Amino acid sequence: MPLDASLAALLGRELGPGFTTAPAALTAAATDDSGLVLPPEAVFFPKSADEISRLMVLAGRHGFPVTPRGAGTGLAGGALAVSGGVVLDTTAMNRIVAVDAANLCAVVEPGVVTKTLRDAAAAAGLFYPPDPASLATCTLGGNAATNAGGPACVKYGVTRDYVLGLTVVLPDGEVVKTGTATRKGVVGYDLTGLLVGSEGTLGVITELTLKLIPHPREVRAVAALFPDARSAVATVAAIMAGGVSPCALELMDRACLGIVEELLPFALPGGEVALLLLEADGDPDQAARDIGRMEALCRDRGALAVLPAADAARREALWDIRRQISTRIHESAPVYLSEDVAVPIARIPDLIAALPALGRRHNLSLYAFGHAGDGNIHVNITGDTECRPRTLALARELIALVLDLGGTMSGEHGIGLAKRSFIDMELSPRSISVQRSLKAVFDPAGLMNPGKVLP
Amino acid sequence: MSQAHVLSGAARRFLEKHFPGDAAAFTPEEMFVYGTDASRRHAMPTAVVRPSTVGQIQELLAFAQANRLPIVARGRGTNTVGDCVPASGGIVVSMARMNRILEIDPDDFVAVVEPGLVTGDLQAALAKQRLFYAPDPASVKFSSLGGNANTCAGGMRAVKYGVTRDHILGLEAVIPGGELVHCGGRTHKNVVGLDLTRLFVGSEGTLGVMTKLTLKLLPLPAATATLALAFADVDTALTAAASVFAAGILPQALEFMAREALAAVAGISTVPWPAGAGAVLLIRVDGSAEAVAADIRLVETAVQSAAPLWRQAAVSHDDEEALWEPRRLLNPASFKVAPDKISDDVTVPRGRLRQAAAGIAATAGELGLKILLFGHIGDGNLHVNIMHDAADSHERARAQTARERILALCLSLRGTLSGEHGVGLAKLPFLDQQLSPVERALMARVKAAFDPHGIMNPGKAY
Ligand SMILES: Cc1cc2nc3c(=O)[nH]c(=O)nc-3n(C[C@H](O)[C@H](O)[C@H](O)COP(=O)(O)OP(=O)(O)OC[C@H]3O[C@@H](n4cnc5c(N)ncnc54)[C@H](O)[C@@H]3O)c2cc1C
Ligand SMILES: Cc1cc2nc3c(=O)[nH]c(=O)nc-3n(C[C@H](O)[C@H](O)[C@H](O)COP(=O)(O)OP(=O)(O)OC[C@H]3O[C@@H](n4cnc5c(N)ncnc54)[C@H](O)[C@@H]3O)c2cc1C
Repeated sequence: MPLDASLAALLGRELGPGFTTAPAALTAAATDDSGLVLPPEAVFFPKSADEISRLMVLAGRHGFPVTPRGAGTGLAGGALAVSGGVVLDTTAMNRIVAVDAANLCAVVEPGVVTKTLRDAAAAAGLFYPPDPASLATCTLGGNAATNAGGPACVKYGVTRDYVLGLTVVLPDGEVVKTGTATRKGVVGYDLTGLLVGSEGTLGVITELTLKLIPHPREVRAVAALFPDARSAVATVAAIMAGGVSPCALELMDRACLGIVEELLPFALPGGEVALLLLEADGDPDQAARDIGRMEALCRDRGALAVLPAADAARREALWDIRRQISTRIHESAPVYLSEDVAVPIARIPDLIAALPALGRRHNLSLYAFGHAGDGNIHVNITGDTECRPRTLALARELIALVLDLGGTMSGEHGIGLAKRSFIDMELSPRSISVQRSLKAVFDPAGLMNPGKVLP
Repeated sequence: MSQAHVLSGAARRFLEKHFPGDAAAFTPEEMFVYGTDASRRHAMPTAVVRPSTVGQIQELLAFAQANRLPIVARGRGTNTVGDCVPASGGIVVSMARMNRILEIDPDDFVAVVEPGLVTGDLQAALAKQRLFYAPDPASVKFSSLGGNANTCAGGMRAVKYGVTRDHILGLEAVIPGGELVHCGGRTHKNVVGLDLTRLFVGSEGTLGVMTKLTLKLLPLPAATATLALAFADVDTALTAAASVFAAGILPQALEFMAREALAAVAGISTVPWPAGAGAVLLIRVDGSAEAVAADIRLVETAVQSAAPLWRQAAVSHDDEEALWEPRRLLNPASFKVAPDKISDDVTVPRGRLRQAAAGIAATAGELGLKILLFGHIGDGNLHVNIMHDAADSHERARAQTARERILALCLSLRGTLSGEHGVGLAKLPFLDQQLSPVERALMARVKAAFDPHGIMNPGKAY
């Protein structure tokens, strides 16, 4: 049911000043980083789980949909309101409740920005490893809801591996706590694991207990330029099999390097060159040793240049290049589609080899970059305004190829709206029906983030 | 006796047809051992089947669903909580014959196995290719991967590498009705749809029968080394353990044994540590040979201020094994202390270990009981063995009181009733102390989404 003026007025009275239908708020909530535009009918900025419960009870009573939203940096349209209703924006719930050094965990509200927690942990000598490239803006609630990854995940695992427990408001307004504050726990079904990655379709995360680990004492970075993407990713496979444990292994292909050319610490040669950004951490000796072994492997495999980052500032500059890439691709063309396929490590070269022909066949530009160490390659597709159907055709072909290689259509960004029409390429009808019945367990009335993930 | 305990003629004919020859058992003599597990509880199965194909399990779960027959999947029966005991009757499905390694892929770092495979057999096969499957419950030589997955087994190395759930990339399971579901995949990352893999892992056989597991592999660490340390008392040892983490070292294993546990082992074997020790830490590090040597030095420096009474380092395989052997003897040794034990595997946040240990010692003192305390303290996981003689009804009651106090204490420290063994029958009476009614109701509905008629391992867990 649409949110008519009288219902909006009622919600305003019941929910207080955090509730708004101001056009500027609706416009702000109409987009995320997927490129889709879908304005909601109202936005609510709660300050507590109680307020969220109250919203959900009202949603149940009046039958309007609720779409949770963190910072809106999602690339799959997960935070957009497909069928109107209220967008629940968690950014006002941004308190770090505790960074607990004795228990090596943190308790946070969902709107805390990822980097804010990483900095607070580091100040206590602790480390929160998940580091999506959007970390300066995205929220921990959004990270948990999408099970975000990032460069460090090749060594440290994804967000899921750091969520010990959650407090969640269910669609009927009830509050549940899942998981524990301990590192291990096997009491009851793993509801924490089920909620992580559920893209706001099962409930609203209102508090997270996150695992922290001792901060590595040293990090070393090196960039290695290869004659082509194939030789770069073949090196990735060799490193992963070689017994070193890099804490980042990022790939940038020629197209990516082209759009950040002026930031590069070297002159970009012609040809199909590709760059790897490699990192190792640990105690100083070990980081030095590991980075040395990776440099040697790069040279053995034909790297044109190996450029160690001499200090923290130069290391940061390399990361800035990497993080600029998606933003610049986004800004480079009117139509932009971000695929984040993942393949088994040994199949990365097959994937990379297939890309140029794929782009040519559909007459579209392709950019490949990302977390090569865990087989997770972001393939971005751009083109002019009329090309959207072609981008979708290319995406479909890409996903078919990736599934053939034993991979998955999404390593970390999720399905949301953008990839929903492809999901049946990967999941069997039975798997989809089981997931639908689980969704119905949490949300029988279908009010939480409707129209997402499952077809 | 309820209906479930009696096999109808039609059911028997069905089982004989689909599980010919010795693939089915119906006599009490043959079935007896399938009615128990390491919890030492027992109930006679209604029938036992030993499938060798997925198809057989599909047929069985279609039939069982239609006829509302309880199904109890069984790995090696080493769980300690009564998970495999067919308390309300039922057909026990022994997975022991489905124990093949289907694939080891050293490039993708993936193994695909049947669930009946014994974990140690996989590890041995992997070691030949310098690969590594990290989870290693102390029962590694005689528990199955399917059992490990269903209990989400932990083990010594969990402090560094995490528990079983962190190493299962995907799985195949037959759900009630006989349909096959595939969850996850073979990539190290995957966010497509709800995480059914996570849901199945740790579900104690209550959602479906797992028929295939895709496991995450790692390169085998080049070297390991162990440092054993003895301290004057428990509190000092736990303080020393905390300083290891504070120094930024993440050991592969960090085990702890308190005085009574040390005495129990010393009762059946020679031990390396001095007789007066109040607690022992076993710390293992892994990595390259240089990193391992450096880490051992760092650990030694870190524990200095706790003034260890004794220390011994080991780098060769045999020397390391000699230090670890007493830890493995704890289970048999415990039964020399008293004929019966109540065994819990409570877990508290790491910073609360000292409080938990002090409270447990106080409980033992107040109730005049011997409580063996040891465990994977790197994860805050304490194994508590409350020793007693169950034939003495007063002592049995005191042991029960001790258990209740200890579980309540650990929950008050924001801990959990079980870190790795699961709920099963043994912890079911305490479940409401940890889970709220809303949570339990949600779990019951999750179960019903897979198993609407409640045929999978009924009466267990949730
Ligand atoms: C430049 C750039 C780089 C990126 N790099 C990475 C990367 O390296 N790795 C990666 O994984 N992703 C990356 N992303 C994608 C995105 O940042 C992540 O998906 C991030 O986790 C989203 O967080 P958010 O707070 O912006 O969530 P939103 O976009 O606001 O929401 C994402 C989803 O989470 C749900 N949600 C949000 N908060 C809650 C809550 N409290 N309770 C329930 N559901 C909630 C929403 O409904 C939606 O479905 C990148 C994006 C950009 C723009
Ligand atoms: C001496 C000793 C030491 C131990 N040490 C540890 C330890 O360090 N860490 C630890 O976590 N545990 C430990 N345990 C407990 C036990 O070994 C583990 O729980 C183990 O994972 C059980 O494996 P299993 O094959 O024996 O499973 P079982 O006991 O046969 O079954 C366990 C559960 O899994 C279900 N199940 C088994 N296979 C399947 C399948 N294919 N599909 C569906 N459900 C299935 C069963 O129904 C049951 O609910 C120890 C036990 C002993 C006796």
